[in-house]
Formats: sequence, structure tokens, C-alpha cells
Amino acid sequence: MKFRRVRAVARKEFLHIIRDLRSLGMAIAIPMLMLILFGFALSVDVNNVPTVVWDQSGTEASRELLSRFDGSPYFSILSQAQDYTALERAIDTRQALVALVVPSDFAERIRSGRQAMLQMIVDGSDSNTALIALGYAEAICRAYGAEVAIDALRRSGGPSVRVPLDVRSRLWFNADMESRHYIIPGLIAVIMMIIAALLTSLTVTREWERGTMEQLISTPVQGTELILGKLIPYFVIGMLDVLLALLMGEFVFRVPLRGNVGLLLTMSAIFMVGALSIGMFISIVTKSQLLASQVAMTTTFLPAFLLSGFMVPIANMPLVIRAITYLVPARYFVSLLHGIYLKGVGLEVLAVEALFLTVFGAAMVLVAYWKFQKRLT
Amino acid sequence: MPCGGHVMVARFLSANDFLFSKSAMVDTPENAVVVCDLEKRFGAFVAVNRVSFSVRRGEIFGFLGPNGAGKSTTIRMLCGILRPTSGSGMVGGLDIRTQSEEIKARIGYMSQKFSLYQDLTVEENIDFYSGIYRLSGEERRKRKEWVLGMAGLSEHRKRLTSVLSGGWKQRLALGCAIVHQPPIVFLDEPTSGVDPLSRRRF
Ligand SMILES: Nc1ncnc2c1ncn2[C@@H]1O[C@H](COP(=O)(O)OP(=O)(O)O)[C@@H](O)[C@H]1O
Ligand SMILES: [Mg+2]
Repeated sequence: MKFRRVRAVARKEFLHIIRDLRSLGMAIAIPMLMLILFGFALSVDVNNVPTVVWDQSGTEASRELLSRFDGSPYFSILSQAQDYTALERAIDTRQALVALVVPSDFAERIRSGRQAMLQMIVDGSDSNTALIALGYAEAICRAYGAEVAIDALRRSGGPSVRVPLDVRSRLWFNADMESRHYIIPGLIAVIMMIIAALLTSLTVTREWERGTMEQLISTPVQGTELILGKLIPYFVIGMLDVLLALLMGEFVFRVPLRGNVGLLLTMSAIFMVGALSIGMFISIVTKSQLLASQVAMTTTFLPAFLLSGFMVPIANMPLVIRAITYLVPARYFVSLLHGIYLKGVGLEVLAVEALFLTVFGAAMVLVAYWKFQKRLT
Repeated sequence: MPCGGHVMVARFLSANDFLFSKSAMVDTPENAVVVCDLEKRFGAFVAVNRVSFSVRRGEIFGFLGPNGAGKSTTIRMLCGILRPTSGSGMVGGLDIRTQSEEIKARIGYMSQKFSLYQDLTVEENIDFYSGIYRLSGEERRKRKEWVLGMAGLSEHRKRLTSVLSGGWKQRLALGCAIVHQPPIVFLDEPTSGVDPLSRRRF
């Protein structure tokens, strides 16, 4: 392998990229767009659910309960209604996702020690939010109920009351339960897969379609020199995308990065080589730009998107699907990213993932090289 | 040709029309190209039907024939980018079957279809090929000026190749193919799509 030839190919490939503003734009716009889309729009957190209330009771007790809803981060009471029609309208027009109705005998029942009722109406068309909101509502009511009961006991002059069990759950690694903290790191893997495979998938096919490959294979350039030279510029672009994602994660989305940045970048580089080589391999075997980009989409983007566990935890998938995920390289990278980002662990924990990733990268380079033929047809 | 007598220009002719005496088809130092019973089939279709000929060192050898006669296919086999179905060939004393990579360092090939990078400038195309042929330093600079002068593109070195006219493109392609001063050159229809005046220059 001769350095001068690799350099000549790399330089030429760089020129192609900067002359073709579309692909350059793609390399920058796609990652930004995905980060913004997933970071802002696709939040699976339930916060400030718009809530409408009909307080038939209008007492201190009912106001106390409702203020606990409003005071929690999960609900925000936007309007008061005086009848069911108004409640219905609020939900139909999506001004509210949740309606709370406090019956008129609410305070009366509490005072007399009978069970008080609270009606909650949830817009089930967004079943995910509905379920989570229900869970929060129950928790708020339970806490309120317990306090009322203890209060009553104490006032009735009973012995000092001890609550027998006090569960204080503490979440590790993503203490704020921000789905963003989970999604943004994993998203880096998906972005890299798309950019790497999509851009490189065209680089060899383009030369076949335009006839420049015929000229190139009549020169002494070697397959390794050609492949390496073509990979270098895309590697640089891909790593810039990683940096872009890291910076946006840090400054726009405030995702805490607990682990070692150096390790993160090293692992990204290894994954990048593998992903680029997949694109190169596709480009070598398809010989048509259209086909190449379609194959690249279906074989790299979709698995990375659906089966890497970046959005849906792999543990929640059906067994068969879970087995398939072991074949998806992005899976290993996503768990590495989660480990480094959220847990701040290093290679001592992530060695297996790192090994798989390295094997994947090396195998893809070899396959691409093996498939490249310096001959026509 | 400015680079003188050691360049062989081969404008090939369907070789069935030629009969060579066997004695001429021996690989001697005087023979730049020796081809014996060279055949290429694509499936059942015979593109090149058992061609035999030889070209001496310094000789300009032309290949004539109608479209589809197999001229380009023959050249591609000689350049080592297409594997012959049967028969043998030697280029510069090297076997086209087993030493195609060595051959590639000693030949210049200009394919029938224009095959430079249209989104690169004139200069960038030349730089790319001199890099591929590993020219360096002073030699690289000299060869670039030579190609630019030969193609008449010295004033247009910063222009994108896509905006050049047909004759300029062809001369630039020729320049890139011989930037490393190969002893043997294969030109496949080098003057097609070139106006008569430019054609004379070739
Ligand atoms: N890769 C290929 N696959 C199938 N047929 C081919 C291929 N290349 C050339 N041919 C056929 O071989 C014949 C000779 O082609 P070619 O060598 O290009 O002719 P010429 O250069 O003399 O015009 C043509 O009929 C062409 O269609
Ligand atoms: Mg032809």
C-alpha cells in the first residue's frame, strides 16, 4: 500500500464532497434534524399535562387536593369547568388531556371518615400519556389519602401513629427520568449509521455509473488504497457529526456525560469504520446508485433505528426480536453509549460490547476489500 | 505525439480481418504487444473471436472495425481490466492473465467513454492521476505543465472539467492517461466527438 496513492484518492474524494453541496448538506443537516426532532419533539416524558377541573365541592379539602395536582410537575390545571359539557369540550379540542371532577360530597365524606371519590377522565387516544398520567394521579391521591388518615387518627387522640412502610425509590443513572438523557446518547449511533452508510454507499457506484472506474482500474492503484482513500474523508465527516452530537447533547439538551470522552470517541471511531465499510461494501456489490442507497437504508438505518435499543429498551422486546438484535452492530454501540453517558462506566464493564464492535469493524473492512474487484464485470 | 516514438498508439481493428504469420507472434524484446488466439465471450456471445497479432516497439498500430466488432473489448483485455475467456497475450513482456497489475504500471489507457471527474478542475484531475502514478516533487510539477501545454489548457487549469468542450476534454483525458510517461499507450477511439482540427492534433 502506497501512501501517495491513498492521499491522492482521499483528496479527490474530499473534493467530490465539497463540490456536491447536497451530500455535504445531508451530512450536517440529517444529524441536526434528528437530534432536534428526537431531543425536543419526541419526548416520552409526561410533564405538565393540561388538566381541566370541575370542583363541585369547592371546599378547603378539595382545593388542597387539586393544588397537589397543580403543584406536581406532571399536571397543570389550565381551566375550571362548571359542567360536563365544558369538560368534554376541553378534551375534544385537546385543550386538556385530563379532567378531574371533585364530587360535591367530597369534604363531607372526608370529615365523616367515609371513602371520598375523585373522578378522573383521561384522553385515551394517546394511550401512553394516559397510562403514565393515571399512574401519577394515583400516586398523588394515595399520598393525600394517607395524610388525611394519619391526620384523622392523630386528631382522634389515638396513639402516636407510625407509618409501617415508607418506600423511597431512588433512580440511578437517570435520576430525573428524562427520556432525553436516554435517547440522545443512543441517537448518536443511529446518526452515525445513517450518515456513514448512506454517504459511502454512493462513492463506488458513482464511479461505475460515470465510467471513471474503468479508467481507475486500469491504473496500478490497489483495492486497499482505493477503499482506504475513499473512507478517510467520510470518516472525518462522520467524526465531526459525532462531535456535533456531543456538543448539542451538552449545550442544547443538557445531557450529562458522566464517562470518559476519550473512550466515547474511540468507540465511535471503531463503530464508524464498521459503518463506513458496510456502506462501502454495499457500494461495491450494487453498482447502481439508486439501488445502493435503498439497500443502505434498509440494511443499516432500519435495524439501527428499531433494533438497537436506542428508543425502546431491548429488554422490553419479544424474545425472537431480542435474539435478532444481537446481529445489529448498533446495539452494542448503543449500550456502550448508554454505559458511558449515563453510568459513567469504562471498559472494565463494557469490554464485551467494545470487542463486538471491534470485530464488526474489522470484519466489514475485510468484506469490503474482498468484494472489490479491479476488473470489469 | 510530443512524447515521441516509444509510444504505441493502438486504434484497433477487428482482428479477424488480419492474418499474421505465426513467426511474428513471438514475444521478443522488439514486440510491445503479442496476442495469440485471444477470445472473449459474454455468456454465449462471442465479442472477440480468437484474435492474433503483434505490435513492435515504437510502432503505431491501428485497429479498425465497425461498432461492436470487439475493439474495445480487446483493448480492455490488454489493459488487464477484463479477463480473457481463452488465448494469451503479452504486453511489454508481461502476461495479461497473471501479471495484469504489473502491466497497469507500464501502460496508459484512455477509455472510449470520457472518464475524468467532471466535478474536479483540470488541475485537480491531473494531480489525482499523478498521485495515483506516484509522481512526486519536480517531476510531478513538470509533467503537469507538460499535460496542460499539450492539451492547450494552461490558461484554464482552474476551470471545472464539466465546462470544457469535447476536444479539450479528450486531450485532458489523454494527458492524464500518459502523465506517467508509459512506454505503451492504448487509446480507444481517442478522436470520436472531436472536431477535425483537434483530431489533427492527436
Ligand atoms: N460487458 C459486456 N457484456 C456483454 N456484452 C458485451 C460487454 N462488453 C461488450 N459487449 C459486446 O461485445 C461486442 C463488442 O463490443 P466492443 O468491444 O465495445 O466493440 P467495439 O469497441 O468494436 O465497438 C458488442 O456487441 C458488445 O455489445
Ligand atoms: Mg469501442
